[in-house]
Amino acid sequence: MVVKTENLVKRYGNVLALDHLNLEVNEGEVFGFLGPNGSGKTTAINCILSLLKFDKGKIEVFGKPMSPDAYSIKRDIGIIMQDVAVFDELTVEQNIDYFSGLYIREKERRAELLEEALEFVGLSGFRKYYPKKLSGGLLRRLNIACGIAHKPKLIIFDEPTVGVDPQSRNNILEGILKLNRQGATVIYTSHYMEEVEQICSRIAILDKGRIVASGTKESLKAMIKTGEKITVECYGTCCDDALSSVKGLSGIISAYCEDEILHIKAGRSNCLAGVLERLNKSSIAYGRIYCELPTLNDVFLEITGKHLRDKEA
Amino acid sequence: MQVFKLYFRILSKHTAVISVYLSIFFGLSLMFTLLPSASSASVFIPEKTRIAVFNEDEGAFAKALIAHISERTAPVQISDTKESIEDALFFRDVEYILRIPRGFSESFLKKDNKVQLEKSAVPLSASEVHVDFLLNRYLRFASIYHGLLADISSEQAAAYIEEDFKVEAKTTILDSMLLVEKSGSRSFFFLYYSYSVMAIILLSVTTGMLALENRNIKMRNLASPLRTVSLNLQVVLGNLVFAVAVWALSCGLGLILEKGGMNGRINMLLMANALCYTFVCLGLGFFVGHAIKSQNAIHGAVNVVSLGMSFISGVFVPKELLGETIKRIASFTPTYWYVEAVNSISTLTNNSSTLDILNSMLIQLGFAAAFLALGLAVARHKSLANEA
Amino acid sequence: MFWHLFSYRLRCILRDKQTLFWSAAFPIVLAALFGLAFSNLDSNELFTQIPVAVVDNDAYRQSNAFKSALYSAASGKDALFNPILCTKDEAVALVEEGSVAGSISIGADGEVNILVKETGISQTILKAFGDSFVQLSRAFKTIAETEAQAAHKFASLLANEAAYIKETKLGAEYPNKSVIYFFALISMACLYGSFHGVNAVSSVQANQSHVAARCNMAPVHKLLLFGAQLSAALLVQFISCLLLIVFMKFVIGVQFGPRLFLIIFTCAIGASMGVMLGALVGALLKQRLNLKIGIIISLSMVLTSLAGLQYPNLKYIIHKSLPLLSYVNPAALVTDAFYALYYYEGLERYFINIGLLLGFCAVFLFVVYGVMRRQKYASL
Repeated sequence: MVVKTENLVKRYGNVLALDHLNLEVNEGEVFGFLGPNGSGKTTAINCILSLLKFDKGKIEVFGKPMSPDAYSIKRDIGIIMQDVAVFDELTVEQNIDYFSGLYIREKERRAELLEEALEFVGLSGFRKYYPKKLSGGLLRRLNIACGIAHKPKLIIFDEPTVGVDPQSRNNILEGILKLNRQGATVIYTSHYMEEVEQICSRIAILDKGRIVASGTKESLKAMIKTGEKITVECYGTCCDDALSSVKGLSGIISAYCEDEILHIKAGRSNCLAGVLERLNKSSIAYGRIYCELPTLNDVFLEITGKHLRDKEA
Repeated sequence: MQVFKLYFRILSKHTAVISVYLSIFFGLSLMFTLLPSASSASVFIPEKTRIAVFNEDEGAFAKALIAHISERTAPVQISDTKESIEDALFFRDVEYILRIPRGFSESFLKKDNKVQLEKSAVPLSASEVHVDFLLNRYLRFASIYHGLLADISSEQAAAYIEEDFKVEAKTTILDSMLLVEKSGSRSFFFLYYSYSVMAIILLSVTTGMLALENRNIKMRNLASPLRTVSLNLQVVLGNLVFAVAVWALSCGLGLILEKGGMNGRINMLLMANALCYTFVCLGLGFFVGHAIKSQNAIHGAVNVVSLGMSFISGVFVPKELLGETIKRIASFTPTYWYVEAVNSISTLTNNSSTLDILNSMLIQLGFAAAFLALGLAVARHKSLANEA
Repeated sequence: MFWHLFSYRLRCILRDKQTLFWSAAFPIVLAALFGLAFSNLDSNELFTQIPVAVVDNDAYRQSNAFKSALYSAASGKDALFNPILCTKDEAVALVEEGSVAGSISIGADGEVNILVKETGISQTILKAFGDSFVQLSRAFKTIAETEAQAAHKFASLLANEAAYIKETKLGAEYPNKSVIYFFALISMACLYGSFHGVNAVSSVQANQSHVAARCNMAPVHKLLLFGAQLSAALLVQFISCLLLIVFMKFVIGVQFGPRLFLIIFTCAIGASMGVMLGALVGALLKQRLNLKIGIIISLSMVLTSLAGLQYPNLKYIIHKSLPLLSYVNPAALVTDAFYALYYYEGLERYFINIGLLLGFCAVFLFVVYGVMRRQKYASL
């Protein structure tokens, strides 16, 4: 067990930020910590790291109780924060060397680690740059390099991809998987379910400071009724008759039509043929048809009754 | 009037710093007004050196000497410790310290000259020469009377001497002008006004402008249906209202502090002059606000400009004491002309012309216009449209 | 580890141009302005021989007494006057144009007339001289009337220049008030060290900056981290203040007195006080950096004003009438320490100042330590 929390409670005044949070992260996994903004992900991370006081509960890291001066534990943790935390006054390589120097004394070893970290995030060409001169994506990469240069056993990524273009984002995600393959345990928090789906082996979904569901993504999806989502672009309105005949099919959970688009949720797969047949019967002309497996958003939606993310503006 | 309101909302965030400058200003002004001020008049009033006398002798002669010297100097009470005497001398609370040692009267009358007066003074200063002269003169007279008239008593000699000292050289002041009483405190108040108003207005104008000049906010403003002219006018209006308020507040305080002995014409002139200078500060603030990038730089600029100009233009140090070179350099700053005008106004006679004063005010307004133009030039130079 | 932290902190400080401007360059700029403004100040009260127009009329030529009185007042190393013999009209013209302090003339009946344009110390001395002449004449008459035979000894008594006054020197150096402007400026520079102090705190307090949160996650003792930040800040601030003093002494020519070691020591203590004060502000307030800087600037303006930055006598007045205020004002303590070093022969007052400053440093550090010791935060 790399990280374990028991009944962690944290209050900000009257607001309950963490509500008896129980968390277990196993060695060697990429653990996804998923939740909407304000659900308590960062608070949980900060408590685990002993930066924040908490009101109740127990935290263990590497099997030992965590505290601000548990230096032997800290030595093996790498943290990449939500906000870029580097010195504007130091160059890329100075920043990396400074932070790795907090963990490792030997200069020669640090020089090697610096090269590896630069190589890893692809900043070798920018070593003499000051952070102010780096683009948003490069800055994020520097932020990561500062957190991983000392080769920690546990790396915590707290929304490292906020405001990063898709290309850099993929770069970062691949990097995380690479670190994991090299043996690091990773905790990854995000409100982008696609990312979490893409890289995490186990996921906990957080809402209002509580874990509402956890497990592998398959097991999470199995928890919910939705087995398949079918979307049909109709030409013209889909009349009530057709809609009710679709609803009459066995295995269909819900169906509604909005702006000439028919949304159907099915409890199991293989409903598409039946749906199309009913539409044909009702002489509904249709164009494109999508058939999707449920996403974590559906999981979240079904469990909490709300979307994981606000609809993008 | 959104921008206008915004301006004051931004200012209200900086009340603390602004009130610090205001309170330093008002505090010092109050103190100076309460301190006695020197005055000059049409009759010859001898300069009086500030002197401290410590008498350890009990003789009548010493008492007569002290009475004589006290009349011709300004005696100051300080405590008789080495430290307080040294401090007093250093800061010119006293310029001359006279100690009459025990046995002086006796020794003097016996003419053995064993016990001498002890003095400490600002070395080589004119006041030292002056008090030395006064003391020596008295002692010489005394030695003459005691030396030539046998068996004369101390009291008798003192009476003779005082009689002698009633005659004086006839002194005339050339073109004896009917000087209006110099109001040291009022002129200090208005001198110091230049420092505080410069600091306060620079600070507030640049702070307000910096907030509006923030690139994103500026783009947002420019993108809004608000007309640019209206936006700029509202900013100008905000600055103007604030500046005039500071001016009115300061002048109001000045009038309250000066409730006695006022001369309407002089007050009007001082206030008009202050208003001119307030405009200079506005113009400068406008310029600096365009030329500056960050809040920290504002504090730097405010301090360097306000303190620097004040020092070289004779706000804190009397202008007469400044070197010629520095005065010449200072004449390229508006503060110099403000101080010039304040000095001329406070020595204004009833029938002398105000032409010089008006001239100084016009020069100040010229500076205001020049700063405004510079500010506009910088603004145009770095306007968004010019960005590559 | 300390060296690692220290050297990187030093690099950060040296790259932070804005803070460096404040703590190092700004005081030097002001010092240069002060230097320009006060270049003339010291010589102002120095006594120089007073130029006097003496009207060369018949009465003057006939009055040996006046001539000899004038001669004795215008010769020797203690000469008061620099007389210019001229006609009456010339004398008026000279007075008018201000090239002489005044004119003096003697009338047929031995009366003395003085013409001046303004009243000042020179005119006062001139008048005292004139007065003294007519008064001596009257004294002579009085004596001649009472004891005629004694009158012949009058001249010899008059020539007797017995020294009635002896000088006791006060202070180690010339009481040059304008040094207070510079000493107060040094105290301001010291207080501006607060910027470094604030930064040192915010770079290790996890609730004040992201970088600090990251540093808190490293296996480094927080006090070691803070100690390194503080040491770097102290070093930079000490050097800034030292540079200021070097600039004042060698470029402007400000006098500091001969105690070189203590001057440097005072500089170190003052710089420490400033940095600690900043650390205190940084540790106690959680607000934005801008607000802290605003507070520091306001605070230092008030404290240095009270220490005599704009008006040196304010320092004296406060020290005399509200001594407590000058003992709790660290800027006044720094100013006074330099003043005591410069002007006092003894070091008692100097060490009182230094002791109080050290006390302030200790109190500040103690409070900062109390806040810093807290390693977990209620919120970030």
